[in-house]
Amino acid sequence: MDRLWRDFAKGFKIENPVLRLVLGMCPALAVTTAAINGIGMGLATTAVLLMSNIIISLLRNMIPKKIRIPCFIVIIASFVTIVDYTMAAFVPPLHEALGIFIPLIVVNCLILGRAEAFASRNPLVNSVADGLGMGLGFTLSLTVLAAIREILGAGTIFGVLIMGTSYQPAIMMILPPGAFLGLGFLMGAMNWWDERVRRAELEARKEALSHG
Amino acid sequence: MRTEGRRENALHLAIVLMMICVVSASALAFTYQSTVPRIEAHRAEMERAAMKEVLPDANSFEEVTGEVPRGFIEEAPGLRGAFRGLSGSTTVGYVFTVATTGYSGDVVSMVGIAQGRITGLEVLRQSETPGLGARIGEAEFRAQFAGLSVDETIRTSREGGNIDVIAGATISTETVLRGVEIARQAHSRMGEER
Repeated sequence: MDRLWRDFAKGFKIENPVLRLVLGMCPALAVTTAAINGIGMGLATTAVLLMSNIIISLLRNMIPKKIRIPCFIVIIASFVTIVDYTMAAFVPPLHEALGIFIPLIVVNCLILGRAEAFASRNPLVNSVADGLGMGLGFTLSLTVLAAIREILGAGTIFGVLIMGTSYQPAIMMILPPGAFLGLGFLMGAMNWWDERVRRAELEARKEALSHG
Repeated sequence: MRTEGRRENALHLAIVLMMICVVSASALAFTYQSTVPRIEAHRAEMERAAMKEVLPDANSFEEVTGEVPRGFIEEAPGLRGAFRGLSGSTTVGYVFTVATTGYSGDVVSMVGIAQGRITGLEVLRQSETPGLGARIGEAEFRAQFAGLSVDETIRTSREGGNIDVIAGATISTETVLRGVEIARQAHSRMGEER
């Protein structure tokens, strides 16, 4: 159970795909212009990742090592196409907003990375936990980045005006440079926080030693 | 993953990969079959809603497939389609779908024309810069076209016309105007057909 939780939780922090592993940069930079796009892209990726992790984990003893990559790619590409058509049929506005980046989930290194590094070596339940954790961690990072860009660049969040009508949006934040700035500051903030926590722990240990 | 040599001969590899492909292909065929009607219906619905928006007097639309628009579509590649707007069985105007190349990709718009005037403009698809060129989709910009006469080319206010150029988005503005011009010329050709 403990192991399962770790497989799930690592996607949020220590192995966060966007902020730590720096995987899936293409969607993370390109579609995060509005918070809703971040959530949509994240969940679409999570769906593909979860399904491909399940199938690859189930087939892990049947797929010969030599042809594992083509097998993974066929499985992943099929799921991406299924998600693409399903979104076009049921959530057309979101599908339109995400455009080319839905088919491009195929080449998101996060999916193939988890297939190769985790699902092909671990049992089903752990692979499900890994897929969900990594996918939702990816979704969370994209949504936070997109929310920051939307608030600063358009003055809205999920399309609702929150900065007041007098706010002059910093359009740059929803243009490509804003993606790099936002991502950079987000990574910086995460590193700063980690460093603070680490120092606090170190202090606490020193304290305990000097008293002991 | 097993690595015994017996399991890894070429035939075995081919069979495994083929099986995976066969299963994938069936899953895809099934998904395609079950989603395409919905996707098509949605697309048709969107198109109809946009036509109704640019030509509110009409309550049904039929595609014009006569000789003139077909010939025109061939010489003016921007024209994607021409529709006759009907109220009952009388023609009340025309709707043209046009595609012109903007700052970043095609801008597809729909222009309604009735009684020598533009009745409305909708931007169906565009990928212009958010906050700048993308403002061609805003109602404020589009509203400038309604009521303009199609007897002559519609120009920007810089060139003495009626359309204000969006600040920082001259190319996007002109892209829409080029589309309107194609619709205008197509409409004048329609006169010959009537």
